[in-house]
Amino acid sequence: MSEFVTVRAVQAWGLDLSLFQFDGELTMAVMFLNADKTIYGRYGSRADKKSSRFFTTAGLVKAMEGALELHRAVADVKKSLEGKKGKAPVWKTPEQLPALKGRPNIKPADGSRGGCVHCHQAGDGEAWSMRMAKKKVGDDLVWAYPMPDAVGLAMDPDERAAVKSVAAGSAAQKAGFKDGDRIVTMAGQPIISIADVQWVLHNAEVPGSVAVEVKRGEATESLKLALAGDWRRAGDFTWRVIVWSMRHRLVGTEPLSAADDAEKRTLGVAAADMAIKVKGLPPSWVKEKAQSGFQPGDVIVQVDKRKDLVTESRMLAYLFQEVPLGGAATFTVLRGGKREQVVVKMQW
Amino acid sequence: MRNVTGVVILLVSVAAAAGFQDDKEKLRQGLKDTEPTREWIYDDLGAGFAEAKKTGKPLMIVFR
Repeated sequence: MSEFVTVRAVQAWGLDLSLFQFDGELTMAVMFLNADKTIYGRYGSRADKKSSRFFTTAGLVKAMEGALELHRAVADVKKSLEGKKGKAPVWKTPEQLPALKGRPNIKPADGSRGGCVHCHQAGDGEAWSMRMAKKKVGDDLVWAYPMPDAVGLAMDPDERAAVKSVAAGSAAQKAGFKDGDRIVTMAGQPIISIADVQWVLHNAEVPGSVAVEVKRGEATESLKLALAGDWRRAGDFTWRVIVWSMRHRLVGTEPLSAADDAEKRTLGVAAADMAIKVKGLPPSWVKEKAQSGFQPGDVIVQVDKRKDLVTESRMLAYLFQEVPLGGAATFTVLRGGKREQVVVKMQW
Repeated sequence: MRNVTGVVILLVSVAAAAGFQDDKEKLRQGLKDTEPTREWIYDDLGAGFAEAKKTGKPLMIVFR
């Protein structure tokens, strides 16, 4: 630790979003940089509600060691680090995001826990701002910072970027990844953590491919990871904070869950089709919610012409990305053994 | 009388000094941050970059 200048950033007012791009929905995120703002790497990953399983002391130490190696060799590696800085953002600081305007905590920190700009507001604020501006909301804003599992790589949280296992039939298997591979570079960038792998995936052009170098024993292998158009959508983003506002504003419900195959059979729904269960409605203190007319116990089996939105993630993403502000979505629900329609106007 | 006044002024000054907190300290206490064994720069990225430039060390910025 003494080899670093350590800084704790607890709030995001004035945060330069052209430099500081990271997954703001983590309970903790780390960026390693040079004084000249060259980014060495990132640390911190989350896949689900169990926020801590990818945070390990061993993994963090390995990332720190990696950052120090890059710092010592910065003159030689500087070019390879250019990709670690993201594209220029539309809005330069969180407080400029239109979706955050007027929120009581959007101000310089006042010393109270609730009186500061939260890091996650940069990400979900950008997504909502794009929607409000009727601009296309890309998969990168909805399925942000995808875990390597989305391409079939299960990673070891105690190592920099070591592959524990490769999923059969996955993009990673087709690229030639093997269990035990240690990822050295991706898209030409030195990789010091799982977060660095996520960074490359997050910014990858689609469709396209990513050049990967792995260490396999003593040998170095070059692989090409091909990414098809909808590769991110295998993931589940419903653990993210943004999902609360999506559920409330776009559907007017509390968390939804997908029926399993046995439930679908009982309901008379084909196994490949959607059956999303409404479990509850938001409490009265939630002000920004759709007046949708859903009832607890409803099962959503179609949205507009879509029956393939088989997870809550996919359904929310469809509404967020494809049903515009000012439009409406028609839901077909099973209620009391009958099919009924619920039309929800998109006010947000 | 002067001694009493002096004591009062002193007590008021001490109380004022003890009560005076800049925003960063209020934030730190509000978040119940414990003091680490070495000095972390608290919520001041500019100071962090300045220190990194001065020392030649890399930065480790923790967002939490």
